[in-house]
Amino acid sequence: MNYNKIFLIDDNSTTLFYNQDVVSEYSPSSEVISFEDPDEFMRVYKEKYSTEKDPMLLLLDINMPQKLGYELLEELEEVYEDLENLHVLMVTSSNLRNDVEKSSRFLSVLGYIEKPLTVTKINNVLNGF
Amino acid sequence: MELENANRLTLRQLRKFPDDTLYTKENIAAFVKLVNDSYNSFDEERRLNNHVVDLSSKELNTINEQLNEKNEFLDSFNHGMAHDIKNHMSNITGLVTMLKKYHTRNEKIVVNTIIEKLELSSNQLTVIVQGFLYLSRAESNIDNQFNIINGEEVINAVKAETLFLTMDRDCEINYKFEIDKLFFSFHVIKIIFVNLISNSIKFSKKGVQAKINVSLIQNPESVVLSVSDNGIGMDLKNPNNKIFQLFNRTGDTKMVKGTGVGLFIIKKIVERNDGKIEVNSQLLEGTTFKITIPLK
Repeated sequence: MNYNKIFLIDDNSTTLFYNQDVVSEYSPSSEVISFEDPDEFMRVYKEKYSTEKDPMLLLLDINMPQKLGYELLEELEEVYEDLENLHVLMVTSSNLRNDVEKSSRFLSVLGYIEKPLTVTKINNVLNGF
Repeated sequence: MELENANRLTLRQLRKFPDDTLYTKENIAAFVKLVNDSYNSFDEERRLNNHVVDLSSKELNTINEQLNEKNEFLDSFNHGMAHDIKNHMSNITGLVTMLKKYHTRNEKIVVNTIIEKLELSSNQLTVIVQGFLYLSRAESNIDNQFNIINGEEVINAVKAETLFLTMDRDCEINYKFEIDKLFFSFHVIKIIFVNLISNSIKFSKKGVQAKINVSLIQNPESVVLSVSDNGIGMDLKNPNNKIFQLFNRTGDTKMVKGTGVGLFIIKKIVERNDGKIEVNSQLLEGTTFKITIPLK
């Protein structure tokens, strides 16, 4: 699947810097938009992208001081009943099992990636390995 | 009635022995008294035993509670530590991969940015590990080594450990120590000051000289450590401001380098020393921490 737009959310600026590079390598033609603050993403998404027709990819950090990744998903689901166009990859540094349990009920979540992010890991999840 | 029955029983037992001259009323009464007494003392012993069992189970309960508390602490400690350290490790691993890539392509500007970020990440990791070392020290008791405090020594140690923060900032730190042969833990004073001063520097206003007043006052029955600043302050009425919680880095704190360990360490140390912490803060005005620890 080719995504025109890829969103990154992570509270750590260094992680964002690195993840941007990985994502640009994964899909050079995509526009990559980064957020350090999940609330800022909500605002911008509402304003610009919620009516987008083509599928978009969101790489979402799970453990952020402002908000946990799945809390953001809850908020998104509350506002938008249909999130079919937003494909989510959870990116985590903590114990995977726990995070999987908490986020698995969200339909938009395609999979999980343990940090550090790599092109191979994205490919593996998105190609269903 | 009971005694009579007992007497009769005793008599029956005694008749098994042939020497009749022993069976006088007095001897029997003395014997019964002996049996009675030993029963009473047995009873007393049992009561004492129960009391001891009761006491030790109370003691066990207390120890159990302490262990539970410690376990909970270790749980959140482990979780936070795993997350914090792993995040920085992933960043470093990722940045090294990136460095290789751009180095091969000879893209100097990107390479330089990566090196800067690597430096920042490894510094942050060092600070975190240092924080944990403090924390493990705060949890064990080796900080409770008491000595006569030398004010000069304290100030030098605090300066050395906050150097990496003060280096590139405009700040003025004033020390006011009123101590006379203060017998106290050097480590406790140092850790409290290092962490409070670090916070004051981290949360100073941008573009304004940070003014930090540090004082150590010895009273007849207590020692008072205080650090006040002209920093960004905080809204203490906000219930989300759980400033003493481990790894709590909410709101504005996320923009600041830190681990969320400092105030937690201080709280642990102060609690263990039966002291108290007072915080006064006003948004955009500054913050004052005052810690009082009783002298034993």
